[in-house]
Amino acid sequence: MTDLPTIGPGHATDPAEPSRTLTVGSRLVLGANTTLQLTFLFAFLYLRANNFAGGWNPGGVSGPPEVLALVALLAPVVALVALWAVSNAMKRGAARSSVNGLLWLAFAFVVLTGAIRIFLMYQFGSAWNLQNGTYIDVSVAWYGVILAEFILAGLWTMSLVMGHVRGASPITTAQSRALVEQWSYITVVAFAVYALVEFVT
Amino acid sequence: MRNRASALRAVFVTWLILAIAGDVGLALSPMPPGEASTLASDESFTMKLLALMAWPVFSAVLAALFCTFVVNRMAPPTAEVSAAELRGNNRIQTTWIAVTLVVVLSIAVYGTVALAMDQPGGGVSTVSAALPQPADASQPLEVQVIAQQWWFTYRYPTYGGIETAQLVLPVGQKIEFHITSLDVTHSFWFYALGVKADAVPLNDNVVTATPTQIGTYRVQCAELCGLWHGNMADSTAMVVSTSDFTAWVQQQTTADAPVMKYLEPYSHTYLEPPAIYGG
Amino acid sequence: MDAVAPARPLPARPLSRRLYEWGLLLGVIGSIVGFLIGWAIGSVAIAYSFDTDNSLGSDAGILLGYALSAVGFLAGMGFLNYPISRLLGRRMPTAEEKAYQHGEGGGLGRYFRLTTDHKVIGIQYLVMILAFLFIGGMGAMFIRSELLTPTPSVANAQSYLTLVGLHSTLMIFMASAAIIGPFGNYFVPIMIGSRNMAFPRLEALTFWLLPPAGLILLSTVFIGGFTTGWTGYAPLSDQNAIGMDSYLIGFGLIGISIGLSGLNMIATILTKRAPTLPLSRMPIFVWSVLVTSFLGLLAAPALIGAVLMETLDRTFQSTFYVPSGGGSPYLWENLFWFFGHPEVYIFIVPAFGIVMELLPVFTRRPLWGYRVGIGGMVGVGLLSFAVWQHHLFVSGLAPSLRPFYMFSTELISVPTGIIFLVALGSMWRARVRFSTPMLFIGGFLFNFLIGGFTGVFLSDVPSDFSLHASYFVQAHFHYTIMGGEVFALMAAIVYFLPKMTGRSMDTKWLKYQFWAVFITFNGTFISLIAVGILGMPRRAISYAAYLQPLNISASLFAFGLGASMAWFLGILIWKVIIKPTPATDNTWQSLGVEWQLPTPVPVFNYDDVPTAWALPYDYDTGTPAAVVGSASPAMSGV
Repeated sequence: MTDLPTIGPGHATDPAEPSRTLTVGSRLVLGANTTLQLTFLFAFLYLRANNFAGGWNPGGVSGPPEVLALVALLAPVVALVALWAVSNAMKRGAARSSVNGLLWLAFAFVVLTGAIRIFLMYQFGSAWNLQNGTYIDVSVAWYGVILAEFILAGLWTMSLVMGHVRGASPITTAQSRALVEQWSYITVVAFAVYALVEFVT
Repeated sequence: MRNRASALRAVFVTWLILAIAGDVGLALSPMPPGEASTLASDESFTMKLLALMAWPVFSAVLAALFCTFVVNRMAPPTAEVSAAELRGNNRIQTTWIAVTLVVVLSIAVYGTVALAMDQPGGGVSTVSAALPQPADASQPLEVQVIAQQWWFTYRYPTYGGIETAQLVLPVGQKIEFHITSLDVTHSFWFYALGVKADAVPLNDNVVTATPTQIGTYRVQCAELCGLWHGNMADSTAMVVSTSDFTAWVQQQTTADAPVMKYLEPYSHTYLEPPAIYGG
Repeated sequence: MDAVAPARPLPARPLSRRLYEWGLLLGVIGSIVGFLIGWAIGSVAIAYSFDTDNSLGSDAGILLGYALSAVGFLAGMGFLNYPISRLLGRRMPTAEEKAYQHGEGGGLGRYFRLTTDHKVIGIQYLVMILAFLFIGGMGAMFIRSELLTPTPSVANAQSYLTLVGLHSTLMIFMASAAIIGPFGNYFVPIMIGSRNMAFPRLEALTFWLLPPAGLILLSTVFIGGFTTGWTGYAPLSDQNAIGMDSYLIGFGLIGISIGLSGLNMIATILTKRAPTLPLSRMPIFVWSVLVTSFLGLLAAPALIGAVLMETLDRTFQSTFYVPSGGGSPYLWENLFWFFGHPEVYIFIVPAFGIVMELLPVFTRRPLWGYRVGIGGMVGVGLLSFAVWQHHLFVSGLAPSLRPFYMFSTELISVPTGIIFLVALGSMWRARVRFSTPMLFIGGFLFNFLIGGFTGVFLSDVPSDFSLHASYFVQAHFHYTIMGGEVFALMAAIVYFLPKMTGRSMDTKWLKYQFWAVFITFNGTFISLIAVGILGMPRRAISYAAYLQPLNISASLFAFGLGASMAWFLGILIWKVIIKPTPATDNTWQSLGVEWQLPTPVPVFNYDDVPTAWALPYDYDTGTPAAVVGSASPAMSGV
């Protein structure tokens, strides 16, 4: 080491820097996620258009169980609304404790989203056989990817909510906005995939 | 220390020597894959043309590099070169980009035209579904290449779908290869004819070529297809005279007669049961 | 590496800190436990749900085992501590804990644990890259030994193909991080005047994914190997036994590492620059890292998706790539090359950056055409997403699209040519100093020129018909990756080592080593170009007898090449570890800001953010890149 005094990492050069870093990082995640979604979109359309050996949907299966799939879309929307309200309150500079309730509400629906979607995957598993056509393969894999993303976003929500309500690290404006961005992106993808799988069998 | 003009002259002279010597050498040397078919001749011609075009550009950069490293060495910036010049020159940059663009465009246009004329590989069949009886020279002869681990078999639908392990082709006859696979992806490579096309299960890959030289050739697999990929080759493929070909067909028809009823009916692709899949 | 530094006495060490110190051991234990758990769950699940494949060596068991062993390794290293404490809403780490995590206090131990200091991670990367290069190089030696004879001799077909697959895949792992890993991580924050990376934990993760990925890949030799090469074409990959699973998980982990590394680098470059440093004055190496990072971030997910589908094919008997089940081999080929082609520019763009960054130091003149050079790299990056089907010209896929891909592929030579323009402009009539790094740069320019011009023949469809999948292709990409990227890597190692370690490996022996590696490299791959033109297919253990003389020539040169690469490694180890040769300050009289910092670089790089940035190439005026606050300037002899 040198004999220069070491300075802790607390000395940021610019107070706005951490939130800028978070915002940029979050947008980059969206970019990478887009490639992943396009990968599955390509697989879906390519296999469907070619219908190799008549193997797209030989069993004539129709979409996932409708009620369950719709509920699985409703839950993230409610969570999104609550998160959006949190973000809005943060932007207005609301007191820290005033968003606790909204955060808990959002978190509850985040958990609900995960639970319903896991149940939906279980339904897929018992009703659909992956050996029976590429329509089923792409749909199940894509729903699985979305589930994984909901779970990851949910874990992030949980860490922010816990840090906030326990006072360890109050949620920042940038965090709440990034969370809304991530969650709405996944929700929109979930809607699109639902429509694709439901109506383009 | 050299001034600007003499530095450029050094590069130019070096380039001229390299370019002329190289292009003369390239023009005189034979080009792969040779002249054993119309397709191969076209490919050889393309390669020669590309080489003749690329070599002068290549040697220009080489000459510039060589002269920079060895001949045109100047002491650190003198008054001759301004600070701005040391940092870039819009005219030179624009010219360079324009020149490379023109070279690239001409290569691409030439390639597209050559491709449109040859249509090698991946094209669609020009033979009608009702297969013609023994083809005359005006009509392409359909030959199916069926790849599987780890050999090729050949079917001649025009001659009742006989199946052979040896590829025999009549000289001067336009051949339409239909390449497919029964298991994994292979690639049918008939080097001398300039034919290379992937054999993909449930896909019919079409290449046409007209063999022009009688001889015995090697065919091999060019796409990694598993354990014995390296041994998926056969050095007994033949291009023979038309009369020899007719005789060979008759001999094969007789030899195949007892087993013809066990063969699957001729088709452009064959569906294998999926038993081998799923690790 | 900082043996001279007196270790700062640390306050009482809490348990968590001691656990970090044993991270590597815990990681190994974690990976074993993880593997056993995953393997057990996978095997049991398979036994109860599918009757087709219920042995203990089932794909589900192996795949899950590998995946959880990677997770277990990371958990043991301590990667889960922070996320879990955040999940539970525990207190945030204190400044002191962060400083510890950042490797404050020095010592060799920080190289063997989870450290968030980008400089430590850079050196970790360097060691890992060299290890991969060495093992992959050994594979190449075996392959060339086998190809001395036209029939199988040294190896049998299965082990030959496994060696081919391991050599190629390991080298792909190596090449995708070879320059951006060690030098991107080490120097990007320094060059942009930052004290740290944007996401230091993520950065550590991108490195610590490599050892499990490499070991999982190598472990394939114990479970039968795989026969698909690095391209993993389906349905051959479906047909392969469990050895294939190593490839899938290894490649998946590398894909994650490439993507996350891109994320971290972009965020760092975009948001952590010194306030007085605009994008338009960044060192060109940082620009190359930025372009590369975008490629990695946006391309890697396609690989991850493709690997996921193959994983499902192998475990749940889905049929993404199985033709008779409605899938298609073309799906894999498209997705794989959609990732694969940007991937090759992930290899080469940082090499462009290194070449353009180092040239001014050895010409003692400004970089000629800084902006157009950046334009060239950005152009290469953009076009690289639109060329992937040139790998599929003979595949029978969409022949009507071939003119487009031919055109876009040939177009990419325009931005690539710009790199040569910048190099030539910078060196034009300069008295180039032929220090060792400059020799390697000269080697890069020559080799990459050949790599580029062989590419022209492959991009043109009619000539590609003859050359596709032959040794011509193999020689072409070895000219670009080995002759290009690895030469730039060697230049960068020699150039940057004095800054990274305070020790110099530059001797006159290294210049002989350069000529040895340059001559043997060209001898090897010119032979292989000829072999390819004459019709030898890639990856074949047997070949036509008439090709034997050229193959012997290639093999003999290749043994020389292997020996010269080992020589490089030998000099490196000798001069840095065994008989350390201290380096002078600012070894190459560079104006770059990184050389104004003391060696070793302080843990947080800068006390005060440097100001008044200029391009670090003003050798005509001698203006340094930036004014570094209290750190002692090490400008000398400019």
